[in-house]
Amino acid sequence: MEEKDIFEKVIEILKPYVRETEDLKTATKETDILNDLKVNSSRLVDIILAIEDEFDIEVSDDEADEVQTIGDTVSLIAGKI
Amino acid sequence: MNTTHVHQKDPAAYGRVLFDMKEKEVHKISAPFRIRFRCTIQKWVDWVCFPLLAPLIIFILKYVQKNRIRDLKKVRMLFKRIAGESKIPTLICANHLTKVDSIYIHHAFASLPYYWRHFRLFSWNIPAKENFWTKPLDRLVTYLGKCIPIVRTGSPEHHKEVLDTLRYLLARGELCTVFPEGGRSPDGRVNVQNVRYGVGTILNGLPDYRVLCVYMRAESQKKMSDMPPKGDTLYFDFKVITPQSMQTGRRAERDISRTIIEKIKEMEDLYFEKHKP
Repeated sequence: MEEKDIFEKVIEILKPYVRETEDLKTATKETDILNDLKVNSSRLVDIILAIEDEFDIEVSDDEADEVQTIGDTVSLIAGKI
Repeated sequence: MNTTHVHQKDPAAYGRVLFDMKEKEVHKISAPFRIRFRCTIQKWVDWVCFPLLAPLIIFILKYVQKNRIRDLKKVRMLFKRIAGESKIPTLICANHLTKVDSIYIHHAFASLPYYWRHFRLFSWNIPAKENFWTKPLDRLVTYLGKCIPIVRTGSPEHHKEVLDTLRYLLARGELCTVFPEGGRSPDGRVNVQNVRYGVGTILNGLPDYRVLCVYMRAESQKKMSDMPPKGDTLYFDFKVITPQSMQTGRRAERDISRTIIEKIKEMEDLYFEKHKP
């Protein structure tokens, strides 16, 4: 799977958790999930679990703690599939 | 001991064996020396200062705030029956409407002399450092009130240390109070979607536990506030549950946390059913 496809899937996964879905239209790899998209920090776990289900991968706690931007998420997934 | 053999002969003995096994597992849970030392010192200091500070706070609740607890005797009797007779790790999980909810929970559950004699039942709390750590007096009261401050925006390491500390305290038979929503409910209603999974993280690492779900509300409270309305009576309801999950890791933590918040929500629905205008 190409990074572009992963990026699009990540955007889909993030949709239910962002305060303003409009923000996702301009999101880039540098977009910070918590600060720019205003995702509640306690929902990060839900996002990680959704990613595990979608891409059939396992993400460790340490790896999850490193995720800050959409680019981090895409790189993490790309490294596992 | 052969548990199967005991089971066949005496189911009650089998239950006791299982209980003993779980208890041994619980006692294996420890924490680094630094944490154990800090908690022990804090508990002793708090216990010594308790007769000086606690009556003052209760005086404020009763005679300045003029708040009352509905069915206080019944609430205290039930609490003694639930928490006083067993040292199974017990986490109190409550809804959160005011900054002083944990103080009202303390007040509702037991008298000051009872806490003095059974100080492990005076539950530990984890207030947000941002709210209670700015003024020296707040810091002192927080320290003396068996509190372990947490920085909400802190590092994962910090959060892990706080959760590990709570797990260690629970394993030692201490009671701890947490608010699964993480903060107060802005609209005055339990927000199931807003549940934090830290509560599941604490419990998932314990071989045996139970959760005392608490729903409390000042009867004229409409939305969140710093204090309950003056002169108001506070309603209390609680249920004991043992949330479990067939999953592991984060998924189990999520399941456990959701079960707890859904139970509290159910208790809220019951409250509004009983208090229909």
